[in-house]
Amino acid sequence: MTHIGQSSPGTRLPLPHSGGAITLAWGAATDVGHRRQVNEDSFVAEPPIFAVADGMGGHAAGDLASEAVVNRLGGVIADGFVTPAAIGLALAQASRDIAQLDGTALVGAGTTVTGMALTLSGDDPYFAVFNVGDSRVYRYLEGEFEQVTVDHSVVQELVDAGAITRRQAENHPDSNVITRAIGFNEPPMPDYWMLPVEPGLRLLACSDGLSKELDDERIESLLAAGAPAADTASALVQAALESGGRDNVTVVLVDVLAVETR
Amino acid sequence: MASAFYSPEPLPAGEEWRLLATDRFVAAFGPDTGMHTMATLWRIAAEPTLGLEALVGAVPTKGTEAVQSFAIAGIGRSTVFVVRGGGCADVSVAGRMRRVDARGAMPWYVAELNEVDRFALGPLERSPGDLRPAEADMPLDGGVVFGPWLGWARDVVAPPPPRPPAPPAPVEQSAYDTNVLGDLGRRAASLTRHRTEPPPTAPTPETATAFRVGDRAPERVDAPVYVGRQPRSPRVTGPMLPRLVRVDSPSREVSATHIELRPTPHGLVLTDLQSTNGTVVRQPGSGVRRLESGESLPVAPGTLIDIGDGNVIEILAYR
Repeated sequence: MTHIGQSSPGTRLPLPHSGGAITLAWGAATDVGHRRQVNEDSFVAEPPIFAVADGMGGHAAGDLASEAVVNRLGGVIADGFVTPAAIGLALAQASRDIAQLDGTALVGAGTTVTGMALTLSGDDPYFAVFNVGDSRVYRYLEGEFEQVTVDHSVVQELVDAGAITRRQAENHPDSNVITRAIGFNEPPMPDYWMLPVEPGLRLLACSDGLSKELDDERIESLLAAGAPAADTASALVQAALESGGRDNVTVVLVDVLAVETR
Repeated sequence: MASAFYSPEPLPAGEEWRLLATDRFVAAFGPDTGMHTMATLWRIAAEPTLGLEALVGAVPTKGTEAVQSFAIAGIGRSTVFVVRGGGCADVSVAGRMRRVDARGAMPWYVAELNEVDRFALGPLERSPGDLRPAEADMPLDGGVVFGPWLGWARDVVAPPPPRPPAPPAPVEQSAYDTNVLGDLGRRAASLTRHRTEPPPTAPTPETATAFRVGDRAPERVDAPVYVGRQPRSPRVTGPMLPRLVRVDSPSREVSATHIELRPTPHGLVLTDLQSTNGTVVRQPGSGVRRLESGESLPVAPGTLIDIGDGNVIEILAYR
């Protein structure tokens, strides 16, 4: 478990060119859960990067893998807004770091990573949502709730192919098999989604320790309750623990409090 | 016309850098880089669906094939430089010179710069000069060559008209003339093919287009463009990241993500993204038509696209 950044009840971030600004609040929470010995999740919650990584591998290698990813993403923090290219390169660097970890050559080590990075399109502020693996980003705005990312998992591929239904997917025996990761000597292949920074927007990044314990309705209701970001993050983790807590559970939550244009 | 160039002056063996250029990447790898590694890197660089991350990620940084020094530039809306070890990039940014070097950062150092006019990639020991191509320098449209450094300029003067075909050159070739490595000859040919038959998302110079929203500055279309009141993009994998263009719509006639403009080898394709109020298109010579929700249409320069609330997008030829 490595974490970078502290929660904030409200931080104003000036936009580089247009003279406007955005105000964000964010919070993060994590727990080892009831069954695991080690928390192999890591997170970074500091503008411009908010991300969760869920490490995999024996002998604590997963912990080192998720640490490598958040450290490299943390290295991007200096510059106010980032480009998706910078994210991709940070992930490529992390992939290298993981390949060089001592003792992982035999067992293999890797990690998922998902999250959102503040970026610009023209002069407009955007979240570049990125994903590798089966951690997830959810979006909540004005009563609308949706899963933004698409899992890189065997089960998701079966759903996409029409072989099984979404309902069958929930209890599928291969639900823990992912098809993309950072590490395992694979080049990282992130997917991206560009979401406008809008007042009232809530984005939640979480490890599968949350999404496998809580169904969409439960996650939505906790986001809709409207508690501050840090409290909501704790409440989500608490709910996952009460519902079983079979895996490490980590959430990073970002609220857009205000958008000032020129 | 932007292009790469290098000095063909012979160097002692063991001091030659391996220089690689495509229309998206310009890169110089240190003299310790093996032929097998260069073949792999070329294959990745010439593959239009792979991005800078894939190219950088494929450079071995440990083991016997390790490449201790390199400088790679990804050419796009901005220019991203990735440097390692004794490799560096001398860059002219809006007329001012700066050097990007790794200073020990491992496994490499990244810098992203806007408004890059010219740059040169090569060893740290090189003195940058003024980064302009000299008389004796050779252009490099695409391929792998050996040389002391590799230059790039946004606006290289148009090449002279082709000379009459020279008599076949004598076969005598010095090692330094070998500018295509091993089986890369075939790959070079495939790059030429890429250039005449580009991937679906990369416009050729003939079909390259730009768009202008109202009285804003025109922008070239080099990736899918989404226009709307509060546009967002669908899932994207790979290097072509979309451009999101926001327009004002006080009466909310414009949908959040209203239209997509997608570059293809045959020109630009407009799609109404299931907008609430539809899209009105005025094409030169064929009058006005209304695009229904979800409908697509190829659009040529001169087309006007009305998405509501007085927001008109004009398609222009790019020059």
